[in-house]
Amino acid sequence: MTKRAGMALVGLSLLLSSCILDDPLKHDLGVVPEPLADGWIIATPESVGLSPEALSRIHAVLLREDRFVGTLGMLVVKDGKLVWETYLRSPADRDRVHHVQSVTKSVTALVFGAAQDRGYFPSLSQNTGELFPDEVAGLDPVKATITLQQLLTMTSGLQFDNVDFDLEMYTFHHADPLRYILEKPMYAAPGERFSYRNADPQLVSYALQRVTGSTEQALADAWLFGPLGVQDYHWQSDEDDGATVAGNGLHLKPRDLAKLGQLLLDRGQWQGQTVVSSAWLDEMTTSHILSDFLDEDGRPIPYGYYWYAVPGGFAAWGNGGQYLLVDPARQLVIVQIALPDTAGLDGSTLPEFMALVRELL
Amino acid sequence: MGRRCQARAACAAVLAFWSATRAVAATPEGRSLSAGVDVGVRTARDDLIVPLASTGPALGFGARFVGAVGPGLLDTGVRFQLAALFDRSDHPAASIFHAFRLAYLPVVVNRPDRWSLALGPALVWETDVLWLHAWDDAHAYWLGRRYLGLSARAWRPRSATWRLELTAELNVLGFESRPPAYRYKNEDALTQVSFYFAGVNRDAAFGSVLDWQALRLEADLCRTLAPGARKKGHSLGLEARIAHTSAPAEAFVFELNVRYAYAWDL
Repeated sequence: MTKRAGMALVGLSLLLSSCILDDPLKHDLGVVPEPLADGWIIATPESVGLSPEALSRIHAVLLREDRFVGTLGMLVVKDGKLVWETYLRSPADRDRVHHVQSVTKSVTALVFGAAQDRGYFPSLSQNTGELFPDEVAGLDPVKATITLQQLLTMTSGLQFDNVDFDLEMYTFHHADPLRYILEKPMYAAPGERFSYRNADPQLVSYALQRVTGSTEQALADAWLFGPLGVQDYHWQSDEDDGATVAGNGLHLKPRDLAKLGQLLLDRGQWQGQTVVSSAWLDEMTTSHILSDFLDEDGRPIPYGYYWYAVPGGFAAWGNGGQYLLVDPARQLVIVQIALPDTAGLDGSTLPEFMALVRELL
Repeated sequence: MGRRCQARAACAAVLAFWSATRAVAATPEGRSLSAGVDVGVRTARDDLIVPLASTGPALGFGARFVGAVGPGLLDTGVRFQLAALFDRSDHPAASIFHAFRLAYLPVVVNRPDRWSLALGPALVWETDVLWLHAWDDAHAYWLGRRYLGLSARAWRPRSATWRLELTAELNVLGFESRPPAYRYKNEDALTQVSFYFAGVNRDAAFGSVLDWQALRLEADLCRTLAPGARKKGHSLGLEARIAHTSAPAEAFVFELNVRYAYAWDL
C-alpha cells in the first residue's frame, strides 16, 4: 500500500508538471489598426510613405521573447494618421488603461504649460517660499529658494530618491505630505545638479493646486484630456491629501497617449483649438540640462521640462519601457506600452527603444 | 492550464485518493501535538502578470494537533513555508504560504490491525503570496482562500511502533481572494505585516470547487518511541499540494514536500 500511494503521488506530480509548462510570452496579433470611434484616422504605412519592411523588422524584434521582454504594444502615427498598431500579449491591451509611469511627468509639464497660458505662474523664478510659505516655515532657509524652473529640470537638490519616495509617500501616511517632502535634506544647492526624482514634479503638482485651487488631475481633465476627448483614464491621488501623483500616477490607453504626441506635432492645436501654446511646447522640449541617463553612445541625454531631447525630436519615457516619441520633421509619433513595474528587462531603456525605431526616423 | 490539463489533474487526484483509501482499519489513540519542518519544490504561475512558471526550493515549518474527541478526530494545525523561485530566464521570485486548518473527522471505519478511515469537514484559511520581482516590483500576486473542505484520513499500524497515515483534503465551498486586474503603484503595502493577512483576503469572491481548487495529499510514516511510557514519536511524510484558479486569470501553485515531524502524546 505504501508503494502504491507513493507511486500515485509521483504520478500525480509528473502529470501536473507536464501541465504547467510555460506559455508563449508574445503572440503575433497583427499590425493593422482597427477603425474605432476614437478620433483616429486609419491609413496604411505605404500611404504615408513609411516602409512596411522596416515596420516588419521592428515587429520581428518585438515578437522575440528575449528582446523587449516587457513590451505590450506599439503604435505608429504618421501625418496625423494611425498607420500601425500591434499588441503582443492580448488584443484587449488596446482598450484598457496602462500605467505610463514617468510619462506622467511629461504630461505634468503639459498641464503646467496650460496653466501658464492662462496667466498662472508668470515666472518660473517663483520659488517654494512664495508658493508654500507655511510649509517651508521653520525649515532650512534654502528650502524656500527652490524655483519652478529648478523643479521642472530635476535640480531641486532635495534628497529623496524614487524608491524611498514611492515607499514613503504611497505606503505610509503623513499629516502633511507636502511638508514631508520639503523636510527632506538637500543633496546639493538648488539648481546645482540634475538628479532624477519624483519629488520635484510632485512639488509642481502642489504648486498647480495651490495657485489654481484645483488638483492637477482636475486641471488636466479640463484643459488637456477634455479637449482631446480622452475620457477613460486614471490618475492616482495621494491618499492623505488628494494631491495628484505627478511623477508616475497616470494610466492611459495607448491610443490616447498617441493623441498627446499628435498634440505636440500640431503645435498645441487640437481640432482648431489651442490646448497648449506653441511657445510653451518649444520651451518645454528645449534642452535645459543634461540628464543623468546616457544615450547609446554613452553621452548624457539632454533634458527639457520633463521631456528628453532625442535625435529627430523629443520623448517621454516611463519605467519599464513606456515611450512617447515625437518627431516633428517627419510628422511621426511612436508609442510603446510595457509592463510598468519591471526591473531592467530588455527594452526598458530609452536608448534601446531609439535603436529599435531608428529605421523610421 | 487548459481544460484537458485540468481534466487530467482531476483524474489523477481521484486516482491518488482512491489508491490511498481503498484499503481501510486502528485509530491512533490519545492526543498528540507535533512540530515539523519540511523541504520541497514549489512551482507557481500567475497569468495576471506573466504566463511563465517559476520553480524552486521551499522550506516550511508547521505544528499540528490530532486527538480523539468524541466519535472522531480533531485535526488542527498551522503551517508557514517560504520558497525561492526562478523562471526559465532565471528571473528570481519569492513565495510564501501560510495556512491554518481545523478539521473534525468522525471515524467511519475502525479496524485494528487494518486500515481505518475518518472522514469529515475541514475549515481552512490558506494563502499563497507570490512576488515576481523582475516582472512586477510594485505588487504581490496571491491566492487567498477561506473555505470549507472535505478531509479524509486513513491509517494502519504496520507494527507495534510503526503506523502509516494518509490524508486527503479538497475544498468544497468558500471564499477566494485574488489581486484585482488593475492596481495603483504601491497599492499593496508589502512592507506591512497586515497585508499578508488582511490585504490578501480583500474582495474575496464566493465559489466552489468548480471555480477554484485546493487539494492536499499527505502520506506519513509514523514511529512511536518508547511505547508503553508517555509516548513520543516522529514521522516522515510526503505531501503534495495543488492550488488552481482561473479568475481573473489562470494561476497555479504546485508543491511537493518531504516532511519530518516530532510528536508528543498529550
